[in-house]
Amino acid sequence: MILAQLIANSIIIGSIYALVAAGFALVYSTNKFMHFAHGVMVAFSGYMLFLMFSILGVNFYISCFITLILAGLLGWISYRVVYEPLQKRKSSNVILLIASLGLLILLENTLMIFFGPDIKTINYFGIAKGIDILGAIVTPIQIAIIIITLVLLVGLYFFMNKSKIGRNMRAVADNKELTSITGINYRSIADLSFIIGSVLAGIAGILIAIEQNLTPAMGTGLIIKGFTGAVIGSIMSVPGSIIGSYILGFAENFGVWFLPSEYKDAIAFILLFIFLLFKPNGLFGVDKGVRNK
Amino acid sequence: MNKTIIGIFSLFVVCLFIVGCTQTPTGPTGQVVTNTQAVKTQEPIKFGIIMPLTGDAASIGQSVVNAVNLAAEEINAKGGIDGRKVVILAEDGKCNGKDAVNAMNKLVSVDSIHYMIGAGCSSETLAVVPIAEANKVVMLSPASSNPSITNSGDYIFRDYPSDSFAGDFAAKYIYDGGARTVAIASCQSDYCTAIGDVFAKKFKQLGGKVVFNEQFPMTTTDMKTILSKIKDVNPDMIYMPSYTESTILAFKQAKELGIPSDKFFGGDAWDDPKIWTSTSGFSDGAKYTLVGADVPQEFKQKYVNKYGPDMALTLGATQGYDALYVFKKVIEQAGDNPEAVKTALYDVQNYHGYSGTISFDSNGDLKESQYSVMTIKNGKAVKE
Repeated sequence: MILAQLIANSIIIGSIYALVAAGFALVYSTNKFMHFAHGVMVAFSGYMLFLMFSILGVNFYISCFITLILAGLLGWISYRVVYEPLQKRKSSNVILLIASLGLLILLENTLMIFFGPDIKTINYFGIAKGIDILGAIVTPIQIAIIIITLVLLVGLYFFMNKSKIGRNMRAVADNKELTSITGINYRSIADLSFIIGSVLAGIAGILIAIEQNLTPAMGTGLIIKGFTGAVIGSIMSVPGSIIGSYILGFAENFGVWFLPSEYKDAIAFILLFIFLLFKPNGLFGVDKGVRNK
Repeated sequence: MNKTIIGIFSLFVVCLFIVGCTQTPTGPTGQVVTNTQAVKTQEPIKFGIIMPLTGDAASIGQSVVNAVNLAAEEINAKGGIDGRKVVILAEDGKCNGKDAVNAMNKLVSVDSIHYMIGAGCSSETLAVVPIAEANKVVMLSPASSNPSITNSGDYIFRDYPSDSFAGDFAAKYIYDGGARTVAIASCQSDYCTAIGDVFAKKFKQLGGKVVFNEQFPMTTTDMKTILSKIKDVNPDMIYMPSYTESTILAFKQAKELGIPSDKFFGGDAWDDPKIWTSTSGFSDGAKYTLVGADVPQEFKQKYVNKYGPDMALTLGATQGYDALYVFKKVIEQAGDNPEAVKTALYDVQNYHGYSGTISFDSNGDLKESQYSVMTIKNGKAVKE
């Protein structure tokens, strides 16, 4: 029965990675720089939920809603305050990368100042033994995580492919200069990519807050896993990075079936190195532009 | 250009002048004291602390720093050590060797400390001992328990007992309780692996069987895989030396996977109210070993008065508090001289503090230690 349980564990953790990776890839593909501070958006959202629900006592679902607005707002502010001024000065991608790492550390430490370094837990749904599904024990929250992730990701796919804004975003991702000639406003597209990406991170933050614990530094770990998932699939493609995240989830869980558990993170990093060395565009990547399939 | 240079230079001279004026101490009668010894005695005595202030073991580190600050405040209110104020400089070692070494280098080269209360995690202590030896910094650790610290150096003392006691004690307790198969899941740190190793050795020696022995990273956010593997081998008991963060996660996910909480047995790092309260309702019956006697009510009261009832009071707090008083006692005897203080510390016998009786052996370890078994129930830990 351990096989069924491991499959379930892989899908659950893969879903969480996929939410992080999807937002990260969305920002990367439209803006062409590594927004590593994306990880702290997840932690920030978890803490906002904790602040509103556990400290201020606001209704849980209202708290979730406000959290998502705040997450989108923080993503937007970080673009306007940190990245856009740098882009205007024609800073290279390396500088934007360093700025994003700086922002990650700054926001993590800000969380630590306000909430303290110790862990926080939100036990809204209570802890109970899970349901037995084909030999795997899964809790209702975990099922909800999988369903919410899948629904969101399918929604994101249709948004990117069927709506006009989505099409514009893909056009900007494909060729920024050319699209600006056709009259698409890059600034509003960049705004939108940060807001949507951060709201996705916000949803991941809420789900992680319920399923796991909250620590100020959790964002770093998550963005490393999300980034790995995105690299495996393809950092240029949102659907690719989602599939990559599930592959990472399976590789981690099934790897430690045979290996001792302490190798779990090592497996993720080995995969990351293999892909960066031999297939930097990922499984679903193409050399230029974005692919949707 | 020249003007700027002259400007900077004159500013520098003015600064030197100001610093020179403020630093020249005047004696009681108003004359300028030129004796360097006298200058030195008016300076505060600095104590460095290296503790995990972020991450998995942060609540332990915070609690120790609070306790040491409490002691420092009391000592300063009563006139300090030989009339000199006590200054506490706390640095974050993040419960790993690398960050502890950075913190230690800063304390030694920037703050030039000679005495240290710490480090906290065994990984931190083991990493910084060589620096302490080279720079003659006397260390007194209130929380590190790894057995290899015993022989790691001459300048390291601890008023917290070695794990060679705790692992043995737990193995015997579990075996006597009727369990014959155990799974060991330890976090990847010097504390967890050492106590796990001692436990495994003793349990096998007693005739029991260790059916599973693996480690997990301290920063893990998912314990499901290791718990699924443990569930598959179905042991009588699960021995889990781990810190706060992963312990809370393990109880939660064990409940979800249907592993009974009373199968869990932990180490002294579980003596953190954060664990009991955050896992209230799904950690009932879990047990852990606790060093020494209970925290005296008097100390609890002092701590609560200063920091409020919500601040965690964990292992190492009374030891940290006592450590500063032991330093005070020894420095008053031997003077502010690291070498003399080190020699005098070996002679400390039967010092009665809040953590119990402190007597150091020739390795700087506690001579003896007692353990009790605590059971977690309804968000509280009760003594058996």
